[in-house]
Amino acid sequence: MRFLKLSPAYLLLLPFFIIMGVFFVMPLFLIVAYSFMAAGPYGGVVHQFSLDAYLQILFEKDFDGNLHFSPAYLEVFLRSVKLAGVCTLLCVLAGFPTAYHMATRPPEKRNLWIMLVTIPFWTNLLIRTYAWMLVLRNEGLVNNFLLYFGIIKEPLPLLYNGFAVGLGLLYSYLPFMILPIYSSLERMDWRLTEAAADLYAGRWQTLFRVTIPLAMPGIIAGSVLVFIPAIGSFLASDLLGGGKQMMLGNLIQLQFGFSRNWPFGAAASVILMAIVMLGMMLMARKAKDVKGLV
Amino acid sequence: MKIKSFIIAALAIIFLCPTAAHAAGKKLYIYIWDTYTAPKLFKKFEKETGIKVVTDVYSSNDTLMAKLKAGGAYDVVAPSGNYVPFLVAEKLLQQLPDDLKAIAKDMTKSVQKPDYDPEYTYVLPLFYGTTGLAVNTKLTKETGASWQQFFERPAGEKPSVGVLDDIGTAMDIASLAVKKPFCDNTPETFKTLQALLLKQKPFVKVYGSTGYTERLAAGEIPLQMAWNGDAYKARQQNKDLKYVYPAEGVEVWVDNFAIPANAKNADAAKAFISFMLKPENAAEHSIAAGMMSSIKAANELLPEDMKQAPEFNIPEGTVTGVAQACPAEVVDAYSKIWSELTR
Repeated sequence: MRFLKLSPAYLLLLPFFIIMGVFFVMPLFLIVAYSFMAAGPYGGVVHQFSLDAYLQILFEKDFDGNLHFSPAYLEVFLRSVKLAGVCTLLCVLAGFPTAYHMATRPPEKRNLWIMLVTIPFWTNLLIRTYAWMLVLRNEGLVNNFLLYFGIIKEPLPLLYNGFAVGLGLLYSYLPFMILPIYSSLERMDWRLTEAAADLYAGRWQTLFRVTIPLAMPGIIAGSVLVFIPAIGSFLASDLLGGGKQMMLGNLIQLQFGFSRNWPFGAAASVILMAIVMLGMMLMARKAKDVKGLV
Repeated sequence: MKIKSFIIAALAIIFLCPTAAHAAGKKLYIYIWDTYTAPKLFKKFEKETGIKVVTDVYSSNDTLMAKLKAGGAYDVVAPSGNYVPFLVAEKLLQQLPDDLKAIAKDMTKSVQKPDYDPEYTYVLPLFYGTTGLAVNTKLTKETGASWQQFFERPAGEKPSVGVLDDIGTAMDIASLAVKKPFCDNTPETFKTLQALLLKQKPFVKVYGSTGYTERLAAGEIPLQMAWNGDAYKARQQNKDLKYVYPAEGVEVWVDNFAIPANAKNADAAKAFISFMLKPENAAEHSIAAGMMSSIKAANELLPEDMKQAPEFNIPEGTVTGVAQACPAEVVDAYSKIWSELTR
């Protein structure tokens, strides 16, 4: 007891520092450090300074040994950013009406809705992605249903293409969009919409000039929560996309796996983090503007 | 007061937990291929020895190697032969005792004195198998007679072939198709392989090794590069499937038992390996995993349908290439080819 009495109050923060240090700062430091080292012959790193990993992203040696600019990896980065962006947009489009519906239910029913939204988290993502394969494949639920009722003559190619990847991502991350929007709509003062109606605003005008601006903090928070995991995801492209197009996540996995080029994998991770950080900063600025509006 | 005792308890948990885990009873941590688990057999081992088996699984050699390098503490692992030289070079495996090595004399000829460890210093063969072609006779008229046909598809065809995304395997098969040796380290070969794969891409339905057995069984893929054990499993559910050995040959691989250098319970590991390689247990394992056992006597104990299965009987005169550990430059080139293929 004396030990605790004598100690300063910030001892209480010790668990925080331990957790952040061990689970966040240290791994991050390791990744950055690895990205500036040379690759070991059987994986791992050799402890000497090297910029090879970063050069590899933009330049490549062809099989004859000549160095030249190669956009292959840049394309992977751009594709991942694009896909994550599209996924975020789709999540807003699908998530906002859902959250709106939830927030306008009577209070005692809202908890049921929240539970329904979180049900998918009870099962592992890999298994849920597999389930989508069973739904979408040629002999799957959708195609069998349409074939049975004679709506189509041949199975639709629903699986192993961009459509399946988009659907898989939308499905995986939609709850992360719905919940923040719901929480900002739930706290909203709905009398403001009545006031807007009193001032002769139509329903659409009320939606776009009152409700959506007030829900903006939720939309921004949801976008951050969706965009960040979506940009690093590779399950959807591997399983639903048929492994035909590499995502940033696949690229990193390949470097730590078959290629045994850890520094390159680490460099790709560092760049991924930089992209995410940039996105966060943009969002934060946007959030500031929004605060100014309200 | 309450908060203070809570902090003490929390700190106690943080600092004391690792020691508590250490002190836990006799446990054997095994880390093997996801398809090689055999819960019933492991239970039998637990009953005979009183050692508890804790199973963890991987689905690629690269994962295994990365985990071991990162210091993962396991007592038994099952690397493929072509990865053994890497694991040995990185000092990740320990030498096997002589009484385990003695088991090797009971092994079938295909796995005796493997080039990656001829004296069984570090590993003992467990299963062996082939990478061939699974053909769905209902979906295609092709017989799968050649790899060349598998890669060079007729123009206008719908995407219909399945390629394993285990890069080493895919490259070995592509090398067979263009009649080059495995791991051939020449720029011309790399270019040929790249051109071959890129030309095939529009006709590929899936690059993947996860879940392809189910795809085969569901009748989704007319032609699939496949490992024999998976092809056998898929055929049990779909009788239209046929496993063939294309004219250019098949890749042969061997998976082995090994004990990591940092194993905490090496004695239990030795007991486990010799238990698993006893003919009757090896046969049971073979049935559970759908694999060809390295133990000669075990293959005679298999049920009739497995003994007769084309997946487990390499026809006389088949060209076989044993999967190797490619040198670093080749691995580099293969990674590049694959990145380019899936860009």
